[in-house]
Amino acid sequence: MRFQPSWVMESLPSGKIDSVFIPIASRAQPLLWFKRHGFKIFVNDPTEGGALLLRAFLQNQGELFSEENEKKFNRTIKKPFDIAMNPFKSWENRPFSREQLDYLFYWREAGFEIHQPMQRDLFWAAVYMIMNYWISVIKCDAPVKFTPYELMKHLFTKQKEAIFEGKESVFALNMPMDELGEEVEASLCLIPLTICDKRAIEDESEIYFHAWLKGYPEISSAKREIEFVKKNWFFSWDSAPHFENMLKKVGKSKYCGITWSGDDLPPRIHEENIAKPLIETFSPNFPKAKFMIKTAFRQKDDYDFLLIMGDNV
Amino acid sequence: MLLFFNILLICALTILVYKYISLRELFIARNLPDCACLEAVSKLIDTTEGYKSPHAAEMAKHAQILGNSLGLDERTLVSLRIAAFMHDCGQFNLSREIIRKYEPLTPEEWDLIKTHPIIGDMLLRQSLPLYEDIPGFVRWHHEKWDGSGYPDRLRGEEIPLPARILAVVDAVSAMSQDRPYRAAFSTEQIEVELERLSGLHFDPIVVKSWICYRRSNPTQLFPPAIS
Repeated sequence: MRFQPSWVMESLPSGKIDSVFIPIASRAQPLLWFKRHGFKIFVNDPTEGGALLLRAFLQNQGELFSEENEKKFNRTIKKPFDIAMNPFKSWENRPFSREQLDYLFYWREAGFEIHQPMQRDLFWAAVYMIMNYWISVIKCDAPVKFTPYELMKHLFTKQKEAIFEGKESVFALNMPMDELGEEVEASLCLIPLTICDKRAIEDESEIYFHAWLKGYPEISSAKREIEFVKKNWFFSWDSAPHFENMLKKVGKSKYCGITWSGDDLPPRIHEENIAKPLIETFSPNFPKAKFMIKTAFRQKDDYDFLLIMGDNV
Repeated sequence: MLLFFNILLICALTILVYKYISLRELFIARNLPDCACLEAVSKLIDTTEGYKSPHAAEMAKHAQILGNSLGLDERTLVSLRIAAFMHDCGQFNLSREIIRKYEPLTPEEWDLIKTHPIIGDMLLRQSLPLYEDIPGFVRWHHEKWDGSGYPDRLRGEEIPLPARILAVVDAVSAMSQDRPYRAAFSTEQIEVELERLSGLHFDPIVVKSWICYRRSNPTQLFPPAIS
């Protein structure tokens, strides 16, 4: 889904928003826009991997991976490990190479040696980015041009560009959706709605990262776990929506924004099946609504949708 | 016999409707803002950015060839061409000192630079309502495959294919020109750089397609544009 914070803020009355509550984050990096513009952020991800990335990129107020730790933990493996020791051995060629698996094993173990929580988050956030890179180049059958050592170094440089000290505080949570408080006081509650039809509700790198973080040899367990913690927070064309659950979490927000992307279907279908039921369900708290559509890629019928609700929208 | 005739009739009707829709789309595609005028405006933007030879027009040529090889339809190719001409129109709002600054930018200046795709999106949304996907292509031409681009930090296939094509041809065109702080890259150097950043900044499929095309046309970076 294409999450566009600036579009959300343009669509709201100016000067009325100072804080944003996101009960379930889609990804950490797009939210940096809110931090950059000085909004107070409350954000939750029920998966451990997602929450780690939120802490590393968003909650982090400018701490970088230290040079000392970089020297200590970004190492080149000279002699391959015994594959029998590697908990991820079943991933060999599915999709990772033997060398990549050695590094994934080493980086996980090395992370446990880092005692400062933010330093560990930063280290493992770099591993997530590397997994993401490897998966995407393997899928496209493209050559990997960096050694794992170079990649790690490159990603620490990338972290330097992305991480900064915000003007306002950021609270990154890792709570199950059922336990998430219903009394959050933020001026805007923002819900990125994932549409689950042909694709899974989580992407491949998210599944691998979750499995890797938890030490699961099979990714199916990770997939099941992610689906379980996110259940009722996505939209499926095949089953009844769970919009009442979402309404319970809007807390005391003055405005609510729900955004999603969808392809292969004309926008009218989204309006009828998602926007209208949402407006109806949310109307007791938010009497007025504004629905917006943007074309992303007409050839694929790919559109972005934004529903803004409140007293004066 | 009658059944056969009916099937034949349905097929003929389907073909006719398909042809009608394609022709209609093409007609709409031709009913465009004047491309020559857009090209002239794009040269103005190039000058503002300090390019000595046409940058956006080069991009438009390259984008069209790549888009064609990656299966974009006629209408999207037209949108892509216009988006290439107009990709940096949001820069008109920025001060020239920042755009043409050769020293490293301060974080505040970077924040300003990062607004230009959003401004471009807003401008084009008002002026090209028929071509509703052009503003999006302009908005996302600085997004990177690994999610580290701007303005929305989209990742991978979240970025529409035409915007991923624009990102590659923008880089190719920029690298192939002399800049005050570096000499122009040779096509071999461009290929090395694109391969290096494939999967990080650029979509590996688009890079592959560019390399494939370049290798089959070794004498020139790209042939003249398809008219």
